[in-house]
Amino acid sequence: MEFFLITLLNSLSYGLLLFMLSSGLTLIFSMMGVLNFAHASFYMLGAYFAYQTGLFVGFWPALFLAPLLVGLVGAATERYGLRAVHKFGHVAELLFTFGLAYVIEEIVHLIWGRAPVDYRIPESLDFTLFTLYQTQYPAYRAFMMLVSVGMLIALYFTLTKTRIGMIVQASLTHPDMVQALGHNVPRVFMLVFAGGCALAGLAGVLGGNMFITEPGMAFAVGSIVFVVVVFGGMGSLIGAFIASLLIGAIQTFSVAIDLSFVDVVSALGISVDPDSFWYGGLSITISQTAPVLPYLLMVLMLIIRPRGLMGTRES
Amino acid sequence: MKITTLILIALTSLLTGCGETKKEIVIGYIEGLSGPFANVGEMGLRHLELEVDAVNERGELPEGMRLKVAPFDNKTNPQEALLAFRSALDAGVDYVFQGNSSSVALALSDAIGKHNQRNPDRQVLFLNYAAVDPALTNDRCDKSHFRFDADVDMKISALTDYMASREDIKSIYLINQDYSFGQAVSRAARSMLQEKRPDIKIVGDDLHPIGKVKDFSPYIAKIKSSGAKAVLTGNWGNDMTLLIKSAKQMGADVDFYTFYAGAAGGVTVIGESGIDRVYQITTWHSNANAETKSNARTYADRYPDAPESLYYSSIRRAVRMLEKALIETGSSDVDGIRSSLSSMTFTDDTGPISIRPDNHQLLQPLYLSKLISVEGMSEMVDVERTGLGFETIVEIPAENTRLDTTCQF
Repeated sequence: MEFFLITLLNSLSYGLLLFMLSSGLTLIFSMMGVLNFAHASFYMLGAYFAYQTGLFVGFWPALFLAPLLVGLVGAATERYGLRAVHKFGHVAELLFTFGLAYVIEEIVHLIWGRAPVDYRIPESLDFTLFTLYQTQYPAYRAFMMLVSVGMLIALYFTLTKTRIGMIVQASLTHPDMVQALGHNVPRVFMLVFAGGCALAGLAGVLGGNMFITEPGMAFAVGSIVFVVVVFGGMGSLIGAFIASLLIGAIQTFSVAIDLSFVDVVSALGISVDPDSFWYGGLSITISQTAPVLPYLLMVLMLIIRPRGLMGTRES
Repeated sequence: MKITTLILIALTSLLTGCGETKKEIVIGYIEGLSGPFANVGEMGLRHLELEVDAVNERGELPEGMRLKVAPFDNKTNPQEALLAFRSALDAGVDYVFQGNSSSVALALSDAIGKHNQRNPDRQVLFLNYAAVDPALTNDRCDKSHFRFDADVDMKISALTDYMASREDIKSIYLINQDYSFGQAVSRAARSMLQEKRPDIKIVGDDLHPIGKVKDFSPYIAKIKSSGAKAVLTGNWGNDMTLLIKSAKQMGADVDFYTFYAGAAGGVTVIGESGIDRVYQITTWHSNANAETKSNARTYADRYPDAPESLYYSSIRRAVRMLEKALIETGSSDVDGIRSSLSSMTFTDDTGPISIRPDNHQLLQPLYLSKLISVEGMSEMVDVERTGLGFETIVEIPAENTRLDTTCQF
C-alpha cells in the first residue's frame, strides 16, 4: 500500500510535468499545423534561464522571469523564423524547427558547457512535506503538482472564458473570418507560439532542479513529449492531459514489475535453461523495458486508432 | 618522376625506419566529453593533464621527449569511440586513455588489438583507467590493454568479505546500470554473497537503462517496499548522484555500498545525510595516508574551481608507469614499452604496486572506506569542499586482490 501510494504520487507529479510540456506543443500544432521539434529545447532553455537568473535574483523571481524570457525567445522565433519560412509550406517549417533544436543545444554548450550545472531546489522548498507510512514526500514535488494544476486551470479559463481565448479558438478554425473581422491573426499565431514556449519554459524551471539541468535534457524528454501528443491525439488538450498522466503512470509503475517471460513460462511448468541462446532475451523483466513501453504504446495507438485518443484529424 | 619517387621512398624510410624515437608522445584521451556523462569525462581530463604536466616538468624523459594530451569525444558510445580512435590515429596517438563505460572499453580493446595485428610498425597501447568489466582481463583480454583500476570481481570480492563480517546485514538490494559493467556487478555480488553469507537475502536486483533515468524515485519506492537496509550499486556519474538524490529526498533508511560515491559530485549531492551510511570500494581515497592527503591537496590547489576532488589514482599510476617505462627503455618504441609495462613494479602513494604479466591487471591495495564528517579534523581531507570525507574501514593488501584469470594472450 505504501509503495502504491508513493508511486501513484510520483507518477502524478511526473505526468503533470509532461502535460505542461505537451500542452504547449499540442496548442501550437492545432493552431499552426506545425510540429515544433524544438519544443523540448525551450524546456531546456527554461531550466538554464532559471539557473542563470536565479544566481542573481533567487528562485522565486526566476520562476516568473525564466518562462517570460523563454516566451520572448519563442515570439522572436515565430516572428523572424517560422513566419519567414511559412510560405514554403509545412515541410520547411518542420525542418526549421528541427534545425533550431540543434542550434539551441550548441548554444547551450557554448554558454554553460557540456557538464550539468548546479541548479538546485531552493532551500525554502527543500523539506519533507509529509511522511506516508515511512516514506517522506518532498515538498518540491507537491509544489510542482500545484503549479501544473494551477497552470491547467488558468489555461482552460483563458481559452474558454476570455476574449483573447475566443479569438485564439476562432483563429484555429476560421482564420480568414477572424482576419476579416479586423483581428491580427499573425499576431495571434505569435502569441500562441510564445505562450506554448513559455509553458515549456515553466516546465523546465520546475523539472531542471527536480531532476538535472544538462545539455542532453532536451533530447531526453523530446521524444516522450511527441509520444504524449501523438497518443493523446494531435491538437487535443484533453487528450494530451490523459496521455501525460497515463504515460507517467506506465513509466513509474512498470519499474516495479519484475516479471519476465521466463517467469511466465516457468509458472506454466516449462523451464528455460539459463545457458540457452534465448535466455538473455526471454529473461528481460518488465521493469527493464520500462523506458520502451511508451513508444510501444504509441505504435499500438497508431495501428489501432491513428488519430489518437481524442484527436479529430484522421491524417 | 623517378627521382621524386626515390626521394619519397627515402623520406618515408627515414620517417618509419629511423623514427623510433619521437620527440612528442601523444596520449589520446578518448572519452565521453558530451552527453550525460560529460562531467565525468571532463574530470578525468583534468586528472590526466595534471599528471602529464608533472611529467613534462620533471623532464626526466630520454632525449628531450615530451608528453602531450589530445582529447577526443566518444559520446560514451562504442561506435563513436571507434570513429574517435581513427581520428586519434591520424593525430599520431600512441597511447589511448579511456575508462568510462566498459562497453566502450571492450570495443576499443578489440579495435586496438586488430589495429596492432595489421600494423606491426605502428603499435598503439590502451591504458584503461576505469573500465572494470572483468572480461577485459579474462576472456576478451588483449596484450595491448592494461588496466590500472581494480575489476568488478576484485572489488566485489573485497566488498562481500566485509559484508559477510557484518552480522547486522540481513538483506540487500542490487541496483545497477543495464550494460556489461552493471550486469557484471550484479552477477558477481549474487554469486559471492551466496558463497560467503547464504543467509543474506537478495531482495531486489534491478538493472536500469544507463544514462537515461532522470528520476529514480520509482526505484527508491521499490527499494523501500523491499525492506532492504543495504543497497549495493556500481552506478557512476549522474546515475549515481541522481539515485542518491532521490533516496535522500524520500528519506530512504538504507546504507549504500558503492563503487563511485566519491567521484564527480557524488558527495556534494549526498551531503550530511550520507554520514556513516555511504561506503565505497576504491583503489585510493584521499585519507588513506599522509601521502594521499598531500596529493589530494595538490589537485585542489591546481583546480580551485573544479567541482570534484582528486579521485582517479589509476590515471596518476598509468602516467607515472608510462614515464618509468619510457625512461627505462630509453626510446619511444611502443613494443618496448609494452614489454616493460607487462611486469612493472612501482611504488606509489599507497605503497608498492605491480602489473600482472598474465593479464595486464595492476595489483594495488584496495580500500573500503566510509563517509564521515571531517569538520574540525585538520589532519583529514574533505571531498568536494563539503566538510565530509572518507575514512578507511578495511585496507586489502595488493596481493590479496589477485584472482584467477582465463586470459591467454
